[in-house]
Amino acid sequence: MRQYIAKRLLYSLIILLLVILIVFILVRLIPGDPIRAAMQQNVDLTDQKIVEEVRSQYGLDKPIHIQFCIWFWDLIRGDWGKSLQTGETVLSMFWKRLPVTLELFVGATFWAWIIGFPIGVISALKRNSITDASLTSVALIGVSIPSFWEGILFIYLFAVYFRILPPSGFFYIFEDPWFHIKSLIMPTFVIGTHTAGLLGRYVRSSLLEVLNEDYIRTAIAKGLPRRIVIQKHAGRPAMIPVATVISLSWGHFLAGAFLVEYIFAIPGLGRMGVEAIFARDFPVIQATLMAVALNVLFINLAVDILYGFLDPRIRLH
Amino acid sequence: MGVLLRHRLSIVGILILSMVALMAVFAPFVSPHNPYKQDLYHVLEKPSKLHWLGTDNLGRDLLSRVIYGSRISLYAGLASMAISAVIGIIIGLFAGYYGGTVDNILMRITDAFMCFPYFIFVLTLAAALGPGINNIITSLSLLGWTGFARIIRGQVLVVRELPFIEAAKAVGIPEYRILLRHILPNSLAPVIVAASIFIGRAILTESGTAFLGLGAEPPAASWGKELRAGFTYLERAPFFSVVPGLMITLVVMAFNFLGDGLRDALDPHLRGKR
Repeated sequence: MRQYIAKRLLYSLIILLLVILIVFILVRLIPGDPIRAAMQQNVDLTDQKIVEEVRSQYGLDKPIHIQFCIWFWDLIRGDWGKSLQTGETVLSMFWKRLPVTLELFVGATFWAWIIGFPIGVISALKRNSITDASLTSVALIGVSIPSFWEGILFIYLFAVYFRILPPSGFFYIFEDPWFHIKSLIMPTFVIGTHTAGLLGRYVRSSLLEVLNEDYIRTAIAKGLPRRIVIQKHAGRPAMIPVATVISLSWGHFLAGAFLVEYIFAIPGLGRMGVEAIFARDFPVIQATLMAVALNVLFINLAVDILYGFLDPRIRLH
Repeated sequence: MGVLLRHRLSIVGILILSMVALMAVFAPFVSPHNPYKQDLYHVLEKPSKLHWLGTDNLGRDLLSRVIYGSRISLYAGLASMAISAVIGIIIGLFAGYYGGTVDNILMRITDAFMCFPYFIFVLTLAAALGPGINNIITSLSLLGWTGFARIIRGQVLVVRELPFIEAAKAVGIPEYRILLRHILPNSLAPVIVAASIFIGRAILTESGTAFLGLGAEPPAASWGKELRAGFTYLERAPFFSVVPGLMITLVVMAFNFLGDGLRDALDPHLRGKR
């Protein structure tokens, strides 16, 4: 087990280095001179000296490999750069918005499990019935529906037509707790939808697979009640592949936050990312991509290690 | 094929997709109006006999725009799938067949790319490359190959150990021929399933980036862009947002249905279980 964890850690470190390289290259692809764009409002651009000064301040005048080394060193030191728009450090922007996005994720996880899990279990137990077909279709709709369309439909239905929920906007919990909760219902549901569908499909197929095993047949044959067999014998092994959903859904959560925070005007990390992309604010884009990839990398590592504990066979590969 | 047809949901998928494909191919013949013709005296109209789905914010016929929009979505989905599959197959073949260091390097690169959530990566790259449908396809493909590479590698690891490959080697067939003629065809089945699901995902991602204002340039009719305009006028013209979004959902769902059906048809091991 220790060897398995060490190997995973080493792999993650290599992947991390590659991720840093990819982010660096990706951000350099943005055409135009970001410094010029940012300075347009308040600096005399005809003065070549000032332009050069600012460029050298951001290290943009150095050769590309030196730029990479500088960026790499800054990343490790914990200096993730400053926003070109506001001058605020990216890390302090992160910390301000992180609680909002995390809250969305907690809510989304809640919806995903409360809807997806029963769908999977019921459709597996009633395999090939009408219930199964309709629940499977519902799960598939959940996987296929674009989050932005779902958000728009909800806004129309609950905010414009019935007027029971606020269409968008956000109050912090200490400002107005009731409005805070109401404003989170729709966005959390929309972010959680995809994962709910995914979870329904995974739980169904993994439960079906386990129910086909010989030891389940034995348990039923020796006269154990069906409910006990499902709970005690089939439940736990069926949950192992579901761990995959956690790592799969994390990326969907992050991507969902980008679109959903934009639609519902929620001041979280996703909205920050979208705004930075539109403003070509490259330090923020760079840091956001880095943070997102780090996040996924970490979750994957955690799930891999979890797998190692749950299923000893995996450690050998 | 028989199994595919017995699978009820995949028939639904095939039906939806054939209809959308016909719509895209014969767009100029089936759309009742010119999708680009503006009529500023008749903006945001409700569905009527003249305009079956009403008009958009520039007075263009929404039905015609939705019909033309299928071209962009299908083009983006199919093209990015083709490019991603080719890149992924090449990388997966090499990694799986040669193994060892080659495999290790290629798979770590794949893992690194997979750390980026698809939508966020495509959005950033599309913003960097600028507007235009071909830039979106490039962005979709630059991350899209990873899934294919992993699947092919997994298949090749199994197939290369089979006796007939050993026989082929013993007879002295050159390596590239073994790779292309013996290993590749026997590893392709799961790629077909993945391709179907990938197209749906690519269309979803494309419409998401279009929704945020990137992708095909105006006045091109793309479902994501229509939806963005509809969102702006949600209170005044709610029906404007319904159809473009419904089309995206239907097409993505159809590709998922088809993928499920193909999986059952191509993988006898799972038959009857799902």
